[in-house]
Amino acid sequence: MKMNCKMNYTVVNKDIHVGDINIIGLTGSSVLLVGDTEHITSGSAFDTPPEALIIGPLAPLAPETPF
Amino acid sequence: MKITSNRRTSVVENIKVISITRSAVFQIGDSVELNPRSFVYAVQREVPVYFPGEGDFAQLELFQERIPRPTVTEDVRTTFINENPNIYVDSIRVLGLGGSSILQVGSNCSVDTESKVINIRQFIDQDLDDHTYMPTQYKKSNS
Repeated sequence: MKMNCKMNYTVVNKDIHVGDINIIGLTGSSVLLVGDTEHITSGSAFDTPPEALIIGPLAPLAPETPF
Repeated sequence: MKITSNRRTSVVENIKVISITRSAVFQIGDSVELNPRSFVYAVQREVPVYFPGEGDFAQLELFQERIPRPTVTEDVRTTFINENPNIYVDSIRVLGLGGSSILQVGSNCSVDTESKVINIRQFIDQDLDDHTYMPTQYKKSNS
C-alpha cells in the first residue's frame, strides 16, 4: 500500500541571547550564521595524493595545456 | 528566488575579524544567495623556485569531480513562529575566515559553499646529481 507521507514541522523561536563567540578559524566551507536561512549545503574536499610528498630532484609541475 | 518575510532581525554588538581569504564571505545584512567556491593547489618547495605556466587544474581529478549534494525529496511543511523577532549576540571574534567559509549577520534564502584543496610538498634529495631545474645560487658546490 502506498502511503502519502507528509511531515508537519513547527518551530517556535523564543528569546535568544548569545554572549561571546570566539573562533580561531572558519575554513573548509564552514558557515557561521546569525540569522535565518532556508537551505545550507556545504561541500569540502581535501586531497592528499601520492605526490603530496616528493623527495627528489626539483621538478616543475605539469604545465597548462594551450588551447 | 522568493524572499520570505518571516525573518528575524540579528543584533550583534561587537564584531572583530582579523583576516578573510580564499573566497570567504563576511556579510553584514540580509542576502538572497551565497555561493562561494575556492580551488586551491598549494605547492610548497624546500627551495622556493616556481616556474611560469606551472600546474594545470584541468589535469587534476579533484578539481574536475563534482562534490555530491543531497537532493530534497521529502514533503515537509515547515512553520516558524518567531515570538521574539530578534537574535542577540554580544560579541563575535574570528581570527581567520578562509576556504569558502561564511560569517553572516543577517538572514538569507540559501547558502551553497564548496572548497577543494590539494597540498603538495617537494623536498630536494641531496644525494641526487640531477639538478636540472635548480637555479645556480641554490646548487651545491662540488668543492
